[in-house]
Amino acid sequence: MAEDIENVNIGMTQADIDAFLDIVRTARIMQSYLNDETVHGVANVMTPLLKLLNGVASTDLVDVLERSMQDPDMDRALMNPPKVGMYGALREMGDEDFQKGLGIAIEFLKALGRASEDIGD
Amino acid sequence: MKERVLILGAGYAGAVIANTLAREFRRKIAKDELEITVLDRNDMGVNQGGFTLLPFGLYTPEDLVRPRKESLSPRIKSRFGDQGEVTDIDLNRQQVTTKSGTKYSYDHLVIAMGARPDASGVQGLEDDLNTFYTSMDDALEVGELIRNFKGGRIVVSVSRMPIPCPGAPVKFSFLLESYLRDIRNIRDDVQLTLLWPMEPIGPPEFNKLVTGRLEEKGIEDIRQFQLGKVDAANKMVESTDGRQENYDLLITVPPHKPQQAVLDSGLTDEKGWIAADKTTLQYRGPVGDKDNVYVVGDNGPADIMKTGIGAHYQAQVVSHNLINTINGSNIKSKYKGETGCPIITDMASDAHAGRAYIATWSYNNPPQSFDTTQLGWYLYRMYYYLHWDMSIKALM
Repeated sequence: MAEDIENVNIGMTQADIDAFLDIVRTARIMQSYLNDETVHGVANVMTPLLKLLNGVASTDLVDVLERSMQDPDMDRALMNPPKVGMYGALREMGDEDFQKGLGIAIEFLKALGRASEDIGD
Repeated sequence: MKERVLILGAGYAGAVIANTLAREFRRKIAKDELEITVLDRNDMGVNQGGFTLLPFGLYTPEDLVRPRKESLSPRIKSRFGDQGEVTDIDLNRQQVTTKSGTKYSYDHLVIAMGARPDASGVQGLEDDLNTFYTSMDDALEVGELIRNFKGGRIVVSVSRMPIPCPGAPVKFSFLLESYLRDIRNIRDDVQLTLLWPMEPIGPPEFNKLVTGRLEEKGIEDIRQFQLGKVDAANKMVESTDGRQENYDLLITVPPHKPQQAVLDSGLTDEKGWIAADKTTLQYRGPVGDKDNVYVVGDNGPADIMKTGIGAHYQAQVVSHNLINTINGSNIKSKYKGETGCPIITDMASDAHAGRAYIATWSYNNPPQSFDTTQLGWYLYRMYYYLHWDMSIKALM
């Protein structure tokens, strides 16, 4: 019922209205650009991004990466990369942290193999 | 001891709950403290919502199917085929049996097995069953029929409620009108009729919009027409109260009912669906009150609307409550009846922009006045491409 509608002053100025109209008119650019094919194309681009987002949101690897990327030894290595040869690599094999990192990398490689079987069908 | 969550059905609601729990409890699963198992007879997921648009070539079958093992987290144990086809659900023994004979016990059970069409529920319907509701093939067949229709009267009949996605037949009618007008250019040769089994079509503002548009587009709508009989030989339908309408092409939404295993297990109430509390979604049927059993999606109570949007919101509430319970908290989230219905009034063509809107509401908060928009059409069109990787994977 029209008489039930109460007019409320929300303090909108002409500048606010101009900004609002500017946004709406800009949205029309997007509206005019879209058709059924462009929408499909946008969706095709978004799909792999969503898969990545799902992966990132569903793993503790992100937490591990977050901390490892801030590790002071990592900072030092990035500033002054140590040159590690064959013997250096073999020497690192005795390091417990290296062994854990290698263990994660190996499990990740095996998981890649299993996942490729799922997706490959 | 390992805690077991058993989810019956890998459709929309079941998959969202499984993926949410798998993400949340990844550490418990890795430590073998928790197991999530999903049972479903089909190893391919189908987005049934897209069936309405399939006859018009707006999507392809490939857009609407996805192997279930690609959309369920590898942390979930999934069983399909005879191993996943549920034949008995014993809520007292906390045990589910599948066609292969395997028995699964559980600590927490989610029943999300959907609804199934039952054309035999209307006399004569199986003699002339053209429907976009039952399968991909049937929807494509409807597409063939409307592509080759020469003129006459097309009757779209919704046999009776409840059906999944009750707004879909209205959406289909508008798409069909656009298709005949702008694509086939035979609109003047076709009389279009919608037979609707109730008085209103959705909540008041929804009803107002679609009633106006049906009139505007010259689509005859006959309300309170519950389908009682189909006379295929004489091309005539009859309502349960004896009114008759003739047709040249009949497109029907058949009655729906729960899966046979649900009926055989004695889980349903007098309305024929699984009884559950409307806010907690916990089982409250003839077997007794079962707090560790949740009922979500289309197999739920008759008075909870059967929509994909509703299933999604229900899945979020059930996931949240399962997480709280497993973590030892008694805090409960409540389902407030959030649901919705994407409505299309115009299909995009070289003559007209597409127009759509996604109306939403909850138990005591009906939708406000709305109209369909052009951007709404594109959002809706885009959604089905993103359905699998956004909604099913429980990202939104």
